[in-house]
Amino acid sequence: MGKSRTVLIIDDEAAIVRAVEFMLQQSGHKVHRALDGETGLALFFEHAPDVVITDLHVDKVNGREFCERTDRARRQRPFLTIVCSGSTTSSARSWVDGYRDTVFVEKPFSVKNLVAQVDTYEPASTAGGPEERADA
Amino acid sequence: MARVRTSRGSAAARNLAAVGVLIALLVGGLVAFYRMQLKLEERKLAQATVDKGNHLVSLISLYPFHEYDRTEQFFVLRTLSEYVSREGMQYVFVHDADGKVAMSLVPNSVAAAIPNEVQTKSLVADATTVQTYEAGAPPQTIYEFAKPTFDAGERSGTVRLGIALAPVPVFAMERVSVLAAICLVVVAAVTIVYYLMQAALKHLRASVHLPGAGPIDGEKLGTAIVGIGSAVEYLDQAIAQLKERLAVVSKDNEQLSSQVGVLAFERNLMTRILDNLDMGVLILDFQQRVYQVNRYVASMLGKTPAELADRPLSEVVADEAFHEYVQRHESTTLSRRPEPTEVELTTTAPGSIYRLSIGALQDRDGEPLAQMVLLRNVTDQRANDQTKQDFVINLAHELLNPLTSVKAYTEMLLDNQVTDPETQKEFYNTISREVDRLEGLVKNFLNISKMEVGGLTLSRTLVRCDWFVDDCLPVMEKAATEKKITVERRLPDKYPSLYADKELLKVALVNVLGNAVKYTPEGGTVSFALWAVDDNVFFEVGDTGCGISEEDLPRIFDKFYRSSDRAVADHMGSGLGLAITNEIVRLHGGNIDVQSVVGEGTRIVLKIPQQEYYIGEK
Repeated sequence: MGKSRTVLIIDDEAAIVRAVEFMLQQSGHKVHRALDGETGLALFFEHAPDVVITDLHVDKVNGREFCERTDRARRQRPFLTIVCSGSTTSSARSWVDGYRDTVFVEKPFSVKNLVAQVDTYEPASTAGGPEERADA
Repeated sequence: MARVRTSRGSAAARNLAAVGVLIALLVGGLVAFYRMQLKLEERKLAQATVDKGNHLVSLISLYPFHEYDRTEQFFVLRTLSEYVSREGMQYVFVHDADGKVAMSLVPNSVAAAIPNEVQTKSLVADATTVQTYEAGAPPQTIYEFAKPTFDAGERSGTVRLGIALAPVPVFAMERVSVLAAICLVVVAAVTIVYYLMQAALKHLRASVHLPGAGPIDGEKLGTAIVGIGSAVEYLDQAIAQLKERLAVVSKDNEQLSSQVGVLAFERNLMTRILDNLDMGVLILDFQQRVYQVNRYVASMLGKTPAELADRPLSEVVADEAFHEYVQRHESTTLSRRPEPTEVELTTTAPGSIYRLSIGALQDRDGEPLAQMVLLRNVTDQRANDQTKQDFVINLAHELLNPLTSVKAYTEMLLDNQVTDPETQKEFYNTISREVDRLEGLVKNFLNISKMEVGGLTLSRTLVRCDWFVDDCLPVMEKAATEKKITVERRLPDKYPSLYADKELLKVALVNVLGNAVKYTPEGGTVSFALWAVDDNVFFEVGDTGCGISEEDLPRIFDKFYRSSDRAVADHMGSGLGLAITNEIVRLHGGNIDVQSVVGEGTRIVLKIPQQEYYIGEK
């Protein structure tokens, strides 16, 4: 078990949120949850999570917009963003390449692997380029 | 040809008859002329006889016969007889004052033939008289001249003189000579006219080449029938051939006008067909001028087809993309038909995507005549393609969410991550619910497939609404609870029953309930009410969600339709739920009423007729 992280989960699928939350808590992470993007953004700025797990298609502020709106914060404080989606087209997932420490996870994902990514995530000490992104 | 020969034969007969008539007229004219000459001569002779008679009777009356003795009288009469009888004198009577014949010079046969009234009138007349009468065999006109004689103022007697009118010889040399001269002149005139006509007809013959008729042998014609008849026959023949030619030309004209009519009809037909096409047709000549457009193109450009014809393409269509395509394929042929392209005509029809294709119109020899550009509006098609693509993505997402849950919970349970029995039970329940959800999605998909082929049918049973509601609501209430949504129920004390397809009706109601929870934000309210009025059962689902815009409202029951509204688009969905619900309600003979205010919420009422149900009915 790695270092305890603060994780924010944003998804309107309550069952998925519950499963991921359960596993993260089992791994000793602190979890905040939001069923829509707007609430998620508020929680992000409130709790400054180390990891954000967000669905791409989420109410009010979707996953892509969330990345855009938190990009400035990322330059001050690195954090991992995991964007989950059932979309498999390259255009739907390639945009994440423009954001540092941002990865795309395809649904249906393994909760165990997802939690493992959180466990192994080590934020860079200083702000860097895309090559410093965490590998999915 | 037989018809022509017959025509020529009858023409010859007519010509012969005409010549006969002409000759008869000529002979008749000559006879009339001759008779007129004869009459004129008779009249002259009569006048000469009168003059001669008057002169002779006056001369005779100068003699004082009453003074002459017998011998002198005889001598005078003899002298008269010798000199005057040559003048046609028939008789001479000298009467005394009493009317008795004093002396006479007359044959007995002649004296007897003199009518009494003639003699009486002559004897009583006071002046010279002239009378005529017919006498003798053959009858001869006799002129009687009478002149009273006077002596010392007293009537002394009367002299009567009879002169026979000399007959005019019928064939007098002078008249025959005149007649011969006239005939000569007429023949000469006819000959001159004939040759003049021949000369004139030479030009006519030269200018009219009559097919099949062959040249007309003028010399032969001239020897066969010398005169007008030949010319008339030739003219008749020429006219017959001209008529024949005219008939051929007239027939050709009829055929031509018929072909023109057919062509005009076909052109009109083609124009009507082009005008009724649900695509634009633009025909260009090789100078890039518009030859013809159909009504579709004219309507696109806000003009009439006539206004666009014969104008440069650059003036008609402003869009560069269109010109670029046409110019790129300027040398297109039928055998080398270029690939169509899809462009947005931003100037002509903003927001519309057109599929352009171009082809060459060629004549029978393969020579290009014009270019034809076809424009088909594929905006809706592309939108449908996009909708279907979105549907697949959304459906995948819809399926992947419960699959993700099932996979996650199963993984945790299999890995013994969950030791607490209560949590285990919760997770098993979640798996069960998510599987139900998957089942619902698959059923929706299957139902929509059935709808596509018209195979969605009802299997009606008696449905108790209390049981039905208890079956449907928990699915929604669980999801609502997770979103902290309040669920309000307004249920009757006495539940009605329905004769309906329970499974399909459940799909319909769950779709509406699912949407209500899906589009209602956390902390909102979803209400459910049930009532029965007039043999109809009403299921009402209300929410305090984002609402449906006026633009979306008419399309919410369309298959695959997904609102572009941000509040809706953020939620993944197949776009099938309400389409299926609508079809199920329609199959039950009911209808759906939707009222919505954007930002406030939506109220959907499903009205299902109860229908009669008899025990034992399946």
